[in-house]
Amino acid sequence: MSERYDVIIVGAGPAGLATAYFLVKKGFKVIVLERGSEPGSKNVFGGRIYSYVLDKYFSGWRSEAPVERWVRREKLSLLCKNDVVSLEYEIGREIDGYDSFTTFLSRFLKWMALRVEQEGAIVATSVRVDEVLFDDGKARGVRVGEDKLEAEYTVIAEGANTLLLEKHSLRDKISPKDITIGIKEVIKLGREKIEERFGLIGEEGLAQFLLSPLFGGGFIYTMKDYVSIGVVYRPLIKDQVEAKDVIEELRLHPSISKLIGDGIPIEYSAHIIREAGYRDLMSKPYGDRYLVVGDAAGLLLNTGFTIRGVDLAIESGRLAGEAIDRISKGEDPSIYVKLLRESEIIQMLKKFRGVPEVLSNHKIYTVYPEIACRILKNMYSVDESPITLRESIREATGSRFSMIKFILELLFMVKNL
Amino acid sequence: MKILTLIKLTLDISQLKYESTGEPLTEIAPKKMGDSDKCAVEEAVRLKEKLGAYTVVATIGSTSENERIIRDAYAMGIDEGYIVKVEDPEILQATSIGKIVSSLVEKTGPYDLIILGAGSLDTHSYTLGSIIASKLNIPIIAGVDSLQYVDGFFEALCIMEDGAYTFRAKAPLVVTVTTEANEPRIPTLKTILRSKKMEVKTLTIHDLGVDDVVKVDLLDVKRYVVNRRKILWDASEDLEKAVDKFIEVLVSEGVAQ
Amino acid sequence: MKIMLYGESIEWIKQARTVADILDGETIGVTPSRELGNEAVKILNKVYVFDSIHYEPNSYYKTIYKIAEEVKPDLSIFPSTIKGRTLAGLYAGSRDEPVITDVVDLRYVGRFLEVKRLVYGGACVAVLRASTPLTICISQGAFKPSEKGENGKIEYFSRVDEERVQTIFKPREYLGIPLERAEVVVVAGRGFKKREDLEMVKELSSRLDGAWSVTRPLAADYGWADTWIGISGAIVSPRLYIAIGVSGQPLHMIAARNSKTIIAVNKDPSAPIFEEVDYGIIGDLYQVIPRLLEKIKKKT
Ligand SMILES: Cc1cc2nc3c(=O)[nH]c(=O)nc-3n(C[C@H](O)[C@H](O)[C@H](O)COP(=O)(O)OP(=O)(O)OC[C@H]3O[C@@H](n4cnc5c(N)ncnc54)[C@H](O)[C@@H]3O)c2cc1C
Ligand SMILES: Cc1cc2nc3c(=O)[nH]c(=O)nc-3n(C[C@H](O)[C@H](O)[C@H](O)COP(=O)(O)OP(=O)(O)OC[C@H]3O[C@@H](n4cnc5c(N)ncnc54)[C@H](O)[C@@H]3O)c2cc1C
Repeated sequence: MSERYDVIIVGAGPAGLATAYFLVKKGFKVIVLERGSEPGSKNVFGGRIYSYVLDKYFSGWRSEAPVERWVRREKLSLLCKNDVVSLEYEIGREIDGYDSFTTFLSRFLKWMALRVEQEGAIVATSVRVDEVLFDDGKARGVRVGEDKLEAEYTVIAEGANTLLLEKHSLRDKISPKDITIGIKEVIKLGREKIEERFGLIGEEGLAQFLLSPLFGGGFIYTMKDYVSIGVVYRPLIKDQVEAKDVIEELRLHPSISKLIGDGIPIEYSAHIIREAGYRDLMSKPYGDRYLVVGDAAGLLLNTGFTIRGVDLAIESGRLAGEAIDRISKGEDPSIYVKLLRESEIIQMLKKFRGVPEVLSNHKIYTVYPEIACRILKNMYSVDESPITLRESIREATGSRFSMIKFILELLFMVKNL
Repeated sequence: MKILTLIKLTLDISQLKYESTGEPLTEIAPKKMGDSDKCAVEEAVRLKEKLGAYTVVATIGSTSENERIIRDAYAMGIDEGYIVKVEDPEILQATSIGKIVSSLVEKTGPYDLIILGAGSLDTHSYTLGSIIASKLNIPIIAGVDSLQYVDGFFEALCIMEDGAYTFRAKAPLVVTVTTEANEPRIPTLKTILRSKKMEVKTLTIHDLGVDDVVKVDLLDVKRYVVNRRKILWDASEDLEKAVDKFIEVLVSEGVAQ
Repeated sequence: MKIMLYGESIEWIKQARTVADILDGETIGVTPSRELGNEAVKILNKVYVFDSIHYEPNSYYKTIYKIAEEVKPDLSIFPSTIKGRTLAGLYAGSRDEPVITDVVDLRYVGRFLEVKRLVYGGACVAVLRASTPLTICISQGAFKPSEKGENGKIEYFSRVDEERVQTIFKPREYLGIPLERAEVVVVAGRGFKKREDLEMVKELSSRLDGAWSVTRPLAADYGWADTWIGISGAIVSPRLYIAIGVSGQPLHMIAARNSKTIIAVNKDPSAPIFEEVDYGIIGDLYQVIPRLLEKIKKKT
């Protein structure tokens, strides 16, 4: 092919598009290749993005980007069979705008793609990359069907399902014990019902984390007219239920079904994610003339309730952009890892290093919600003899249970989400 | 030879969801180039390859998805494309769409062949091609399952309720094709990249000199509900009982003893 | 109100006559067949017959258009078949009046007509308001046949020829009862694994004195039959419709919905067809149908 690009990016997810955005701004000739018919048509996503990355790099985004609601209310709920214990935090009105917002990734990526194309890059859809072309370990471009497309650099932004990386033995196949499945459903409820039932006004939104022995960890995000609910399903823990039934468990829980039971499910999707967190970070997300960004490189936070990766993907795209710029000026490719290490995202992933282990600690899902529900049930049930907090804890746990330790453990889980 | 292909952004009705009141959630249904429209594009591109025809594509609408389907047609090999900007073309009377298209033909034509899908899946009217033909006063061959160009004639095979018709006509002509007509090609990287760089021209209906579009006076759309008895028997549990029940129905309907 | 209708079968003309009953209009028929014309005058006020060897849309519509110039109809009705739709589009386009296809019901509301039509491949019904002059297409079976009789007049009309299009016609060979007239229709879907297995369907249909057909993939993709039932194939309205191994997609069901009774055999309890049946057998057709045939044989 006559056409030559400086950089080919495989995948128009947040990581690929961000990489394109930063590179084209630096004057590189960039093309993004996406197998879906549109950016965002193949991505699975729960619903919340953190604002800080956009504030840093996308001026004017608050008025342009397709925001559904600004998250003002954060809620953590422990769900037992029938009862619920919740902790809620309402954020005071922010002066510089809210820290996070809910959106549909498909719309958000369309917007990102538009920004990228306005800067002069090409986003070509319905193009599936079959392999990266290597010449003695040096990436020269990609092959799409019969066609070859060459470039100075190739960026792999294929997401968590790392088929290309596995094909070229750049990454191990995911081991069954590390498999987590993110499942989500979008339910149409209508604006009025959402605002009334979730106590929201105008553009305010709610983000709720759920913990339950019935399904593990889960989330609820409110959109304008829709509610996105999901679970982070770990087949190893919950072998008694099928993946597709897990979300049913959530939807049918009395406290949830009264909120959304009359809504219409309009979309169901599921996606495998690698569980291992920090452990699973690619040790060498680069090579001769190629870099790996976003989920593909393992830059994904699984908090147990939710999956978070869009901000990390965008940030890694920025770092990849900077790295390619510096590599093209003669620096060593390892600069990419150096930049990553210094960045906030690696710090963040490190902080969550222990989460997979905590998560495999069944107690989190099976015991804690029960205990919390029992404690509060005892406290609030009215019978002849009033009961003290201490007594109620003792009765609920039947042992020397430390309330402090319990709360700390819970907060550890929720911290930084 | 110059060919105009008309394409439409249609709902993927297999993925249509409904409100509890039965209203279809059309705004969230995935949209794509109509299946038979895609066959029309393919047919035009084949004529281009065989006879060196110049191919133009047009669609009516106002969203970014309209631009996407024009580029999809470019990626299949079409040379030039127009979007006629109209809000909500879905609710325009077919006769108004016909008027817009015939003005477009006058402005960008003349064309030897105007080719489009026999029916879009969403409204499936099968009438647009005919309306255009009547407005331009040229013949139509509708519902074509196979199209050939032989000795200066278009030769079309149409399988209909009562048998097989072969129609032969010279240009200018309107042809509507079914999904049987061909297997549309899958664009290659090369053609997709080319399509990204091509210009998509836009026109307003005023550019076309059309100012009186008529809207359909739509009062209501609801899911079609059929009230049937819905009595079910599970043969995997009890085959004999299910078969006996089946026979009982045949007997009570008077078609078996 | 003057209602002009172009008909190809007497069953359809009787149903179209029902529309005229609803609107209390005078009925003027148009048909390309003398035979049909002779039958139609018994139920319509007047019938125009133009002679034709076979269908060609461009000459047909010009003829119908010329007749309409004489008749000046308020409402013109065509069948919702491919031919009917094509003619309706040409006709309405040249008269510059709106055309609404797939009409299943209509009535007067004040000065306007309220028209119900199928949209989205038969999955939805839309209600529209329209005024005359208007062209509509109605599906076979959408209206009950009218019982009313007339003693109408026949007028022969000479056909307008369209020299620009030549036509060759090869009629379909009908084996057995034509689908459109069968009292029982047995339909095979993709639940059938091999062409030979359709023998079961043929046997069942012949035992019930009915006709058999398939869904579109079996005809168009596998070539196991020439025709199929569905929006792009034949539309039927039998007394009994038996669907075997058919999932029940709207594009298929739209053509079967006017059946009086629908039975389905499908192994998937969540198949959409079970939403549209009177009786359903959940089970493997390879067990159910052979056993059914055995029992029917034993009985007769
Ligand atoms: C259930 C669930 C809920 C989540 N919720 C949230 C949330 O609320 N907030 C949050 O921040 N994150 C969330 N995430 C994570 C977030 O979606 C990802 O971290 C983010 O999308 C990663 O971006 P990416 O660009 O690396 O990969 P992706 O978004 O997966 O994009 C990869 C792209 O590459 C394309 N591609 C792959 N292979 C090829 C190929 N060979 N050729 C061409 N194209 C190819 C794919 O089609 C895809 O478009 C969630 C994830 C899941 C599974
Ligand atoms: C423009 C357009 C026009 C179309 N027009 C028509 C049309 O006119 N007519 C038409 O029919 N289709 C039409 N279609 C296609 C239509 O959308 C469906 O694809 C088609 O009707 C499905 O056919 P099916 O039910 O045979 O197959 P499937 O949908 O594949 O269903 C097969 C069913 O068989 C069941 N099954 C499998 N094995 C067994 C077994 N051993 N025992 C019992 N049950 C079993 C399965 O559970 C399944 O429900 C059209 C499509 C398009 C795009």
